[in-house]
Amino acid sequence: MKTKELKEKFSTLHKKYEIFAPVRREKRLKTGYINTMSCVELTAEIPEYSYKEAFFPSRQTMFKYKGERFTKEGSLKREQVVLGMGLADLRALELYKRVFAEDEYFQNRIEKSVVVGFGKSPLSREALAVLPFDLFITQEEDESYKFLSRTDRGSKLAQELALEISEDIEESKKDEPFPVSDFYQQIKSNMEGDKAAKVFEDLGQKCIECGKCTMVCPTCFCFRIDDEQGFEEDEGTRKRVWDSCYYHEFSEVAGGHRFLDTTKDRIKFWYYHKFARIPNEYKMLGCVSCGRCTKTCPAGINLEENLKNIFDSSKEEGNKK
Amino acid sequence: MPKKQYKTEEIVLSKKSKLTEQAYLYTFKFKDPKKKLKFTPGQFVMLSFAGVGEAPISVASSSREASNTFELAVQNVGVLTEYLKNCPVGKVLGIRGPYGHGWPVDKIKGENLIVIAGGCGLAPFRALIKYLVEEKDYAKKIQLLYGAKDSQNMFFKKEYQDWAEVVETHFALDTKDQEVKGCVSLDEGLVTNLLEKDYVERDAYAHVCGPPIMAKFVIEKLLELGYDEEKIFVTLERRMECGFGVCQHCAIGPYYVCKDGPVFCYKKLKSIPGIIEVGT
Repeated sequence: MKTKELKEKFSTLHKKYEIFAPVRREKRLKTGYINTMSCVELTAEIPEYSYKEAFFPSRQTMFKYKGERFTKEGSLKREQVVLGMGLADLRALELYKRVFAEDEYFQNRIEKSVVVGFGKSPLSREALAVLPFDLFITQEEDESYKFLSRTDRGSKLAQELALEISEDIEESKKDEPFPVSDFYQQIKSNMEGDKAAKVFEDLGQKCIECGKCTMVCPTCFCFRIDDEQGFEEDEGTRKRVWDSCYYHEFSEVAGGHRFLDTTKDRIKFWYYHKFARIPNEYKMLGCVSCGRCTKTCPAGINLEENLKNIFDSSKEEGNKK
Repeated sequence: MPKKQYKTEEIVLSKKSKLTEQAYLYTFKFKDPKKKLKFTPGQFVMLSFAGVGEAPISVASSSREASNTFELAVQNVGVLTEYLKNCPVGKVLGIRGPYGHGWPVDKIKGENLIVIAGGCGLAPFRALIKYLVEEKDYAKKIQLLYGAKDSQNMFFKKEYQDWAEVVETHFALDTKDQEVKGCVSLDEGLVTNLLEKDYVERDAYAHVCGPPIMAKFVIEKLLELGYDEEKIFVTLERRMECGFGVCQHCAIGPYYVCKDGPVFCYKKLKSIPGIIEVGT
């Protein structure tokens, strides 16, 4: 199947499902909910925004209130197809599945989603088997497409679109399918031992705390809960809203005290979360190496460079002794 | 499996009594007469006020029996607490919880206990003290060392006499403005100074709650006096949004204050940079 035929097959998908997909606007590849399939661009390029909005909306309505009474809201009305997720984004989705395992809002969205991955061949089947997709589209070297199914939901969608499944991917039964490599084990131990003080001292001078990296990061999931007043004084909604640990108010308690009071403290908190707390808690790394944070940072902060420096920080300490 | 993690139960404000100029003891009851709050001393609930938001507040009533009514002692410090202060009796609010780990009640059975509190830091101890007063011979000797600005700023003043049979109370006020009933001693100065007194049990569990700076100096002093770091427990304050270890706001090192705390053994905290740094 070639691109033209693929586009045709998918052309009416939006009539039955909500579609969350990569789209190019003013030359920039982004992701979002769309109304027509013609703007979708299936590509191995990593979009500027992640796919988290589809599963963990930036403003999730949890309840509406009228007077003192709360009524639960926030269930998806239609099923959705989340289209074009690459390997890194699927890995991030796997982390979310662990973080939000008991979360009724996230689980509702997952239940109502068909996750369609996309990647360029060759792709290791072992790597695919651990990722949480339903259907996967591979672009072969001759520019043709193949379809791999991993779940009944994936097969069903393929059937609806008259796509021929070339292969079934069996779900991996590994206990810990995302082992943390030695490099990241060292970073974790350096974070836990507070070895990289100098790295964060420098980053504290450089970071402007705009929070863009946390917004585009597919694994960042911290949130706050806000009440939003409606038109009437006694009605409104309670929403779960993306937060950012780079913001001053993140650690602020009643009375105004901030436990993370400096840029350095907050940026360290972010690295600790990704590279120490998440691996301990969820048995996988809190970074999927998508590169979005580095690409989006207006201050030119480079994650990869910082990780090398954090890695080296224990060696330097050793040299000093 | 998904759970109704954010489900908020309706409660009615049934009584309000003034503790200090800036604090009240609020009595609530569940709107549903069958609902009961089952908690352990030191645990907290998320108090919800439609249109304003939620705030974590430790439960101040007795935990001995799950009850349809419960009490929260609240210092007026932020937005939600200001609304609460102006709430008329009969107003419907919400709670979810209880959350977290409270004071290690099992550990202090048959042991000596010193409770060290500063200002509104006595609030998370009221449930524990009431429990110990009701279960008379539960612990061996119980001493309360409580510091406040002056007598006007002391929490639960009317209750010290009721506690006296079980709890030996010693107070330290910045300004000794007037006598306080129900205490064994009343000094001027910091609560840290009380720790040095001869009457304080040395072989004891120490439970601490107060402003971060007080907790730091108290723990420093306790260690200096030879208290076992495994017997020192402290409750921490942090911003909380979810209450069950997801939202990340209260994360400290590998722990969440909402889920693994708010009461922590000092031994667990001492290796985390920037939490309680003794000797700096």
